Amino acid sequence: MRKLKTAYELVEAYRNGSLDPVEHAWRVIEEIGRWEGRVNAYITLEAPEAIIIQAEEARERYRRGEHRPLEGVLVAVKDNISTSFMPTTAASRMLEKYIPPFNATVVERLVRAGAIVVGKTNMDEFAMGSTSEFSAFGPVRNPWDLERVPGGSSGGSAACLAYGGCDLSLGSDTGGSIRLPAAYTATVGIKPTYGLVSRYGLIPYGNSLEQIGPMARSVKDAALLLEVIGGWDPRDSTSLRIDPPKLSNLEPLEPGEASLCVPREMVEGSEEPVAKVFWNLMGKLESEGFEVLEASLPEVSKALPAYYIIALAEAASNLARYDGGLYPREDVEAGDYWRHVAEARARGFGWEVKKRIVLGSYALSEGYRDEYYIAATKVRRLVRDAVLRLARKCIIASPAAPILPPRLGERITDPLLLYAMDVYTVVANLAGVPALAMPAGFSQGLPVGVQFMAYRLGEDLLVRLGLTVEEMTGLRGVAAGEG
Amino acid sequence: MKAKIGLEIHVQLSEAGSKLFCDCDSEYRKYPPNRNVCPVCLGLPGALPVPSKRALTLALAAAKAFNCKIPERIVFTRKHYFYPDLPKNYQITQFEKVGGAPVCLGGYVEFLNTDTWEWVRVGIRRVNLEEDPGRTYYEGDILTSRYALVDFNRSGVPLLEIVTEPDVRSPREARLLVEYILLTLEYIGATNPRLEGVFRVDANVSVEGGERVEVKNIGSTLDVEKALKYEIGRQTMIVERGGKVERETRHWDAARGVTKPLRYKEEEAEYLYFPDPDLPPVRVTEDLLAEASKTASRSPKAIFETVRKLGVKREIAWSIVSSPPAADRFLEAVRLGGDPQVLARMVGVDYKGELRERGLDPNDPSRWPPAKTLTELAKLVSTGEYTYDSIKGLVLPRLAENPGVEVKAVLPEKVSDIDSLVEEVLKREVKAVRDYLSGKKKALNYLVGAVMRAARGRALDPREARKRLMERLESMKEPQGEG
Amino acid sequence: MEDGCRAVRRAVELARIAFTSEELERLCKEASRIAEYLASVGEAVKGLDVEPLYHVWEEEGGLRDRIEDRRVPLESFLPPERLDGEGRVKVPWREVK
Repeated sequence: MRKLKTAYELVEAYRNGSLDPVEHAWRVIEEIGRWEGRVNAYITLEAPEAIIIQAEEARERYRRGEHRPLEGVLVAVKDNISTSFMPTTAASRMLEKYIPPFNATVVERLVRAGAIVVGKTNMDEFAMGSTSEFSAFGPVRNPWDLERVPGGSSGGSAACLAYGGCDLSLGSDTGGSIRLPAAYTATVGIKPTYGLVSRYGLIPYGNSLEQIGPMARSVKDAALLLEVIGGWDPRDSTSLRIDPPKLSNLEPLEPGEASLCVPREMVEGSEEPVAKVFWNLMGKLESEGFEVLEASLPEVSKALPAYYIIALAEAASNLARYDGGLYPREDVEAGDYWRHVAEARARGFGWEVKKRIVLGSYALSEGYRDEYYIAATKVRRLVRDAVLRLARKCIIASPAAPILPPRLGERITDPLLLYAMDVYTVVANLAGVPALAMPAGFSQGLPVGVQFMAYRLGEDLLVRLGLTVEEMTGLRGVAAGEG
Repeated sequence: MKAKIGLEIHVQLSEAGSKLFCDCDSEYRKYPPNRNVCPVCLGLPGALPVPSKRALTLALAAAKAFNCKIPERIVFTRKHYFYPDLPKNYQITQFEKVGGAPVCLGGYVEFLNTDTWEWVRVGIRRVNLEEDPGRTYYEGDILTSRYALVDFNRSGVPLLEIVTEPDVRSPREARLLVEYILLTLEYIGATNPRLEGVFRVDANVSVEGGERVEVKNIGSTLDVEKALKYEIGRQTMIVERGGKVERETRHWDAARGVTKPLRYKEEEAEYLYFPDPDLPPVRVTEDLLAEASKTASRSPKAIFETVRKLGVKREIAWSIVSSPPAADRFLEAVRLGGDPQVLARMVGVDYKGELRERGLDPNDPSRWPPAKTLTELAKLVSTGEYTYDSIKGLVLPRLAENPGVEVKAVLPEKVSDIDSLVEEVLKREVKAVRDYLSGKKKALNYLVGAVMRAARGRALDPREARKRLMERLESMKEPQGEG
Repeated sequence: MEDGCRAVRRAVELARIAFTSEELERLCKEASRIAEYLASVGEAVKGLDVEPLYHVWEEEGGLRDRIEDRRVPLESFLPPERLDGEGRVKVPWREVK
């Protein structure tokens, strides 16, 4: 383990002149050179010269005192977030050559805040996965243990943070895709309240569930990034009409300001080492004076299948557009339209994606729609109402994942085992509430993450609790490798 | 044989200004291929739809005009099918099931049957607002074309689908109904029915003892009548010969004037409907309803009744109402003090006739002079300063050429020396004079014509010319009698 | 299981993805098993009087007056050989022998 500068510290150092943005950019480029061959966190990397030119501009701006909130900070962007200056593949052969003619709103906001986009990160194809193994560009490996997965689907965004290949990153979270990788790489990730961050430009998987969110090596960094990307966007009808949240200058939460609760159903299925680290942390919080209550959320037992049905149904619809027309494939011969479509989709999509599209179509088809799709939306209401009820009383705490980061290949052979990794995270997506995942500790040298969920737009509460926990664990700015 | 006819009328809201979910132009005809497109209407990954207020207001105004039950919240639904012109391979539309809610949940329309002068009521089953797909062209024939050539300029244009109950009694009434519905939408300011391809009609038709046949792709109101006549004739013949009319979809071949079974088998589809997760329901607020009501206040029926109350004959009244700018000018000119009878003839018969004769569109407001001009002209007739015929013959044609011109500039000079014209003609037309005097009374008409011609475009009341001629001719009789 | 496979095959048609017969066999096995697992949600709400929840906050969406224009030429993301001389997109339509 080693410690790296957090983005917040970087900006401080740039500002007071103790660190030069160009020098830092070179250091990150070197880290990438050292690690990338083994980790495969990036699908596309910006050319070093282009990064350096931007770092030089940042240096100028600091010199002139015209720096913006993320001036000269190197940010990695998940490859399902549209960038007009780099390919955006969603880790799919289908979009291998696709360069969007527009930027996602979050990318516009990043660039306007002075951030330098280092590259586009590897992920599960179309964000469908929990391990980052289902990528057309090869699996991502966990910098803490290269035999293990970094979690998914935002595995690349977590892995580059964990080895120092970026200062901040953007992920997307449909059912845990930010929080699982954060937990598996000892980084911090926030799944914002549904509607807090614009989805404009996010290649959709499960539209009604997902949010783009910040990933970082500290809670404060994640808050800073969320502040930059959050707030109403007229281009997204589902974005909430609110101003960007103010999160980067909050104080740690004091005991008595809020209590925590642990729903039995969100911890009892955990592996022994995970439960141990988790309860250990809860114990520390208690000894600091925080109230930690036991609670029950029986609705959670049906959350996982309900989540998958909704996500797959929406995915089947979203992915219908990839038919070889506007996203042509050279390896499919021109022929009859219907055959061409079916062939293009057969070759362009990976197995997991195809399977999920078929299942999504199944869940929406006549004769099955009521017992699958409609039933799932009803379960969703039950889950949301139960979570909102509980979150009004306490911050809901649980492990971020029931297991330690699995070895490559270990989970993907059995789809039900794979889906089970998301059991604690999907709840926040179904309920729309914000959730923070952050390091709770280590077990056998592997990171274990904790998850906190709050009420709608309770990001400030989560950040404040996160700052408190970070002080307790000391796990701020940690990275894999020898210092 | 008695037939049951139900219609599905698709009308583009060509006057909405923008497409339904983006800011591209709703009037796409003026652009070269694929130049009226953006990420939203191309369905690019990550682009998100935001409903246009104007399109929705117009759709609600239509719902008001059709006496519809309007839901509290409008829901957009995804309808899935694969086709080259559908960039997302789903269409955003409205559907009454699976959580959907269209702008109109049922209503009725009363149209004027101008053969019988009865108002006829037809039930409206529903109205929904949806996106038009792009346009597909083929190299030669649809069956052999190697490529479908797609122009997405039309993709996303707001389209109203109006579905009637099978209440329509005859092909003629079907045509009048469609014309009336289009006129209603024109009054609302929603559409310009004369634009190429702005509406299309599908008709469901069955005769007693037969199944329902759907006739697709009828592109003009004249063809609605023709296609239905043909189809009813075809079905009647089958039944009379003891055959069975099967349920099928046929295609109207306008060039040959026949309905034909679909040559190209469209694959059986299941549409996998579900509410679009990118589009939260839109509340139909008081404000929105008020605006829609205001927009819908000008209905053909209301205006027809107003015009009739002014004592205008129904044929002329309908002629005025069937051209919205004519109706506007007429009512305004009456308000300004013009005589309704004179104005009705001028607007509903003769000026409209002048435009038609020149091949100009009487529904194009720019072809009409301001109401003030019409009032002035009507007053000149009422005060006896000019005859109606001289206004009709000498002024209206010049106005039709140049509607903006001042009355003064087109008002003909009046003949002041009528006696010298009469003398001139009597001197020249010796034969006609002789004929008249020898008892051929018809010769007088010829002589009147000759005097009118001699006026060379100056205003001369033909009755006055006749009177003066008679006087002179009678005075010529007496001395001859002596001789 | 037999019925499950028929349903999966129907879904494959709707999904418009080509599968080889071996793939289809594997898909049937995997998908039927998942479908069986997912069917538990139907059981969970059976007899319960719950309304579906499609949009998590059940808030109404806004309407747009105008958003800054963002037209894009197709050439900006589509290879030129996919367009015909007039700028229309060429989508394979009929087999040409």
